[in-house]
Amino acid sequence: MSEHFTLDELAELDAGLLAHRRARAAARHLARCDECQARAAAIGRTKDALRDLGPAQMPADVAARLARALDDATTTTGEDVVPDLGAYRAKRFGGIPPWAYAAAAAVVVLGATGIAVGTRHGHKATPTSAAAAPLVPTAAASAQRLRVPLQESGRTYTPDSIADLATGLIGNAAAADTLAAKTPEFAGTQGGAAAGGGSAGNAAGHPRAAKNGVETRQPDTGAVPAPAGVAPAPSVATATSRIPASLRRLADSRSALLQCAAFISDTPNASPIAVDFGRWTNADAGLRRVPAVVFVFDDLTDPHSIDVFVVGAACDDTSLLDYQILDRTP
Amino acid sequence: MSRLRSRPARGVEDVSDELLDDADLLARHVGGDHEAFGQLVARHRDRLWAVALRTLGNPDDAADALQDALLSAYRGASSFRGNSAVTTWLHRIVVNACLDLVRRRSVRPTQPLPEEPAAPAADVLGDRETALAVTAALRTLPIEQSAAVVLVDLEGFSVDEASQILGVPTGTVKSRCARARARLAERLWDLDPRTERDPGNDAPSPRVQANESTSTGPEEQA
Repeated sequence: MSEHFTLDELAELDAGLLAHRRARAAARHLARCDECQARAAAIGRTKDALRDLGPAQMPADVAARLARALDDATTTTGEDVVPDLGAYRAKRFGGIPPWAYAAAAAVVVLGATGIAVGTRHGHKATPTSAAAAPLVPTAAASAQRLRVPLQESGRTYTPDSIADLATGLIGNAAAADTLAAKTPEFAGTQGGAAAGGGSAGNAAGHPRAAKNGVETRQPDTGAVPAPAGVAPAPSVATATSRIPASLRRLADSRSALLQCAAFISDTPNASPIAVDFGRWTNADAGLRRVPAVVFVFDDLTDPHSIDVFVVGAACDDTSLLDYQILDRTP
Repeated sequence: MSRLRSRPARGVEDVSDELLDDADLLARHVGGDHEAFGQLVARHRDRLWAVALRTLGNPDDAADALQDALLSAYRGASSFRGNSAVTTWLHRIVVNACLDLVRRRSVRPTQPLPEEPAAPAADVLGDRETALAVTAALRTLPIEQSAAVVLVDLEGFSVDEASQILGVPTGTVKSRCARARARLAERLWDLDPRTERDPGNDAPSPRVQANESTSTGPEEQA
């Protein structure tokens, strides 16, 4: 009888690792050798025993510990969280990573179930949960008069389409400048309502608060109603706009949106020249229809350029989806 | 009609969550949905736990490794490029965390322990005792071997998938699995001692050395 085969070799035979000649020799030997057959069978039984260990259930204490750790992670906003934003900013701001501002600026604190926004602006600076996010302009927001055509097109932007769409956005922005000058608050999507005509009161102010019967805190200067029928972007803002629920926090709160604009552009009184709420698809990054806000800013250094930021709903350091410097006119 | 009145009822967006696939959840997470990652983890946590627990052989270490891994996945999600399944990507992060933990802490040797007195052979034990004997035997394997055999034989990943998860060639996966099974078989079953392989000989047989040449695991240097 030929030489026996070791367990290692029999395991290699089983895994298809033995060279042909050696494998044929093993097969011939196994046909005649009970001992080697028993060892080969032991390899098979070992695989069965491993498989039979079956599923394991994560113990509750471990699950709780992991949940806590992930909760903690969501409250972290420092550089250790996907610091890509710093690189983008460095590009835009001449290589000075402006974390000093970021640290002092409104910090978006992410809770387990919602998003609390603490404003850096003086007297009204109380954190609020996402559910209770300001529905009306706060004094802080009014101090920063957002004269920006807001849109809620809900459209899906892609890396290829964004250049055309962004310049389209600022085209609409230019058309809305007159309105913005008259409207101390939004020259915004409420215009979508105005486009439908006849709801000037809502368009000017705080339709949800009115609807809910909540007394709203008016800015000191008071809101000047937008002229009925004047829509900043009738060609884009759709009357039936539906934006992803996760963007509501930004869509419904001027202060949250301003903070996001300031944070993402790293400019304390950031004044985007256009904003749209929609979605973002980037097949290369495996992203499909991610809820996203598109901010368009004047480029700080080149008057012929605009800076476009695509930002996820959280608007934190992990949220920058795309950043492009584009020609103002295509 | 105001924008706000035309808004869909609250929760409409969430109804389809059950239908979201892993990649959707990960994309939502990257997009700022703070519940998406938790949902993704909840979906796979038992399987990831099983891999960590059985690769490391110790619940405390498994919990540590899993925590490292999930935080790393949470933060690095935007680097996921969709070239592999999300589960493969998650497993890769978990397995790497297990390997890191062992290498960092030396919680157990990456070389096999000296031969211990043989445990009762598994074929004379009941199911539960067999399971205990198998998990005990797994702990004696070098970490690279246990990771491979856990993925392929316990979790049912294909050799190709395990190769992606472990970041080593398929031949290396097969070879590590083969040696792990041989070592486990030796411990588990009452085999004829006359034909046992030489316990001092840990070198791979010459024909599989080529398969190991691209790997840097410690056992290849034995």
